[in-house]
Amino acid sequence: MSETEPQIEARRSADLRLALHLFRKNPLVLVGLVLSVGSIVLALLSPFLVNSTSWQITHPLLKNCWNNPLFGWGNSNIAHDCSSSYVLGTDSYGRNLLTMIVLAIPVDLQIALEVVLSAVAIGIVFGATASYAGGIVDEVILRVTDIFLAVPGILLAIVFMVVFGRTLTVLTGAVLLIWWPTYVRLVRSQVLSEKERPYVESLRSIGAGRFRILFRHIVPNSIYPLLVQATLDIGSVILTVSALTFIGLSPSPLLPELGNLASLGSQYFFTAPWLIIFPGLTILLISLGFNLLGDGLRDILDPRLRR
Amino acid sequence: MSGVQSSELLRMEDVFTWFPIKGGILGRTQAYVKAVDGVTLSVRRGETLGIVGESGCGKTTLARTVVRLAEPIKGRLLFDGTDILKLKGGRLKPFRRKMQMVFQDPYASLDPRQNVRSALTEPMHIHGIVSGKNEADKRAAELIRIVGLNPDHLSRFPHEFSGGQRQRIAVARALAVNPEFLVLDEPTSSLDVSVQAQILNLLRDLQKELGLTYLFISHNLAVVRQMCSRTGVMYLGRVVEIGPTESLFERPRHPYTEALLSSVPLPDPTKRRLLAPLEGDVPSPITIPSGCRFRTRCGYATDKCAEVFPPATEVAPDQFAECLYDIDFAKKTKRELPVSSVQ
Repeated sequence: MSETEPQIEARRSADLRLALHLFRKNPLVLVGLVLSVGSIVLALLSPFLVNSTSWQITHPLLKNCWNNPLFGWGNSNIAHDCSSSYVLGTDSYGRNLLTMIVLAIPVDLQIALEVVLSAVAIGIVFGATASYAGGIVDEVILRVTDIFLAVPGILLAIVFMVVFGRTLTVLTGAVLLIWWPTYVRLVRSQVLSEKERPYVESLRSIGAGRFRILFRHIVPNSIYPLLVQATLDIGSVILTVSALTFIGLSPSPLLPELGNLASLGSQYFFTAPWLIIFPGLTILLISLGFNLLGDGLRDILDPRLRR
Repeated sequence: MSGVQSSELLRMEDVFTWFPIKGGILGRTQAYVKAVDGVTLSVRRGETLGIVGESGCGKTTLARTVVRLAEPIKGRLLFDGTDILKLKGGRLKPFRRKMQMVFQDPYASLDPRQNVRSALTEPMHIHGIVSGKNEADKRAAELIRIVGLNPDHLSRFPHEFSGGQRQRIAVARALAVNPEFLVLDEPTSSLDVSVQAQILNLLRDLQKELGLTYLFISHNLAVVRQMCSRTGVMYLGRVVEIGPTESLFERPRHPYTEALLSSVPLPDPTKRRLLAPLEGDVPSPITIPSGCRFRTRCGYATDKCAEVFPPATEVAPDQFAECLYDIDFAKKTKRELPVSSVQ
C-alpha cells in the first residue's frame, strides 16, 4: 500500500540532486566533509596502522630527531642517531611523531564525541523539560545554567580537574561542564518556539499526552539546529581539550593527545619546530573540518532553503 | 430552550473564557480579554450549528473551549449530559475521542516530520481503538480513501500535498477515532474557492454517512448558509442571535445580524443596500460596553440599552436574539419587546 518503487527511486534521486546542488554551491562543505570524515576514518583505523602501545616506549637516544630526506629543517641534523627516517621526525621522548599523531586523533575525537553527545542528551532532557514545564522548573534550570555560564569555561575545567584528579574521564567531565549549559538553552529556546506551532494544539485536541507531544513531536522537530551546533562544537571541544592538556592538565606527559604533544614540543620550538607545528596543524585541520561541515549542514538543513 | 428537535449532544451553559493580561513587575493580572463572555447554546445530535462573526469576536476561542484547548473560567460544558469541564486527564480522554477538531490552517496543523500514515494511526494508538499495527494501517488506508485520497499517499509527508489535500488529511485524522462530534474551525478559509467547495461537499457527505454532528465556525456567510441547519451570530464574545439558518438569514432580529448580512456584497448591481455599513470599530474585548454590547455601533440604540442587559428572547420559533427591541429594519421602526421566554 505504499509508493511504487520507481516513485521512491525518483524521490530519492531528487533529494540526492538537491544535496549535490547545495554541496556545489558551497564547496567548502566538501572540504569539511573530507577532513572530518577523514579524521574519523583515520581514528577508526589507527589501531591497525600503528602499534597502540608504542607511546609508552621512550628512546632517549632518538630525542628530537629530524632525518627527512625530502627536505632539511634548517638547524636539523642535531640528532644523535637518526639512522632510520621519520617522516615527521621524533619527539622529545624519541617517539615517532607521526605514530603519536595517529594515536592521538582517536583520543581527541573520542573525548569530543563523548562531550558533545552527553551535552546533547542533557540539553534535550533539561531543555525540553524547562520549556515545556515552564514556571518555577524553567526558572531553576535557567538560573543553574546561568551560574555555569558566568564562570569562564577554562577556569571551571581547571578547578574541576584540580579537585578530581587528572584522568581522561575527569578531563571529559571538565569539558562537558563547560558545554552542557549552551545545549540546555538551545533546546529550551527551540522547544519554546516549536510548542506554539498549531500542530501541537491539534495533537492536544486529539488527546496526545505531554510526553508524547514533547518527545515524539516537538523534540524531533527541533533537532536540526542541535545537529548543526553539535557538529560545530566537535571542533571547539577538541580545541578546548588541547588547550587544557597544553597548559599541563594532561593525565600523563606521555599521553598521545594533540594538545599534549604540542605542549611537549613547545619547549623545543627553536631547535625542533616540527614538534609543535604538526600536532598544531592536525588540531587545526580537524576542528576546521568539523566547523566547515557544521556550517554546510546548517545551510543544507535550513528549512527555508528546502521548502 | 424547548426540545423542538432531537436531543442535545453538547450544551454550553454560561461559559466564560477570559484570558488574563499580566503586567507590572509582579506579573499581576491587570485585566482580562473576555474572548467568550457568557455563551449559552446547544448543539443537537446530527445537526450542523454554524457560528459566524467578524474577526476577533471569539469564534475560535469558543471552538477551542469546546474541545478543551482553552480553559473557561466558569460555566458548564455538557457533552451527552456529562459536564466535561470537571474532568481531567484520563477521565477526559474518552470525551476527547468523541469530539475532534479540524483546524483552520492545514499547512500548520500537521507535524511536518510525520508521514500521513503515522499521523492517521497515532490517534488510534492513543485511544487504543486498534489492536495492532496491521489493523491501524488497514484503517488508515480506509480513512484516506474515505476522504478522497489514494492509499499511495500514506507514506508521504505533509509538505508534499496541496492545501486541499492537507485539509482532507486533517479530516481523516479527526475521523480516525470514530468521533460523534466535529468542531470545524474555519476549515475552508485558507483554501481557494474551488477547493473550498470540494471540502464542504466532503464534510456534508461524511456527515450523512457517519451521522456526525458539526459545530461549524466561519466568517463566510454564504458557506454557513449552505452548510448549517442552525446558525449563531457572535459579537464580542456572546452569541447575540441564534436560530434556524433560513429564518435567521431571511428575517434577522438583532441589528448586528442585520448589519452582518447586509455587509455581504450583492451580486445584483441594481439592488441597493437597506442599511449603511457599520460605523466605528469593534470595542475592545477588555472593556466591553455596559448593557447591550452592540449599542456603541447600533443605529437603534437608546439610553435603556446602556442600562439593561438584553436577555435572549425567543423572537420567532426557535430563534433567539439578545435585543430589547423588535426592529423592522425596512421601515426603521422599533417596538419594545416584552421580556418573555428566556433561553
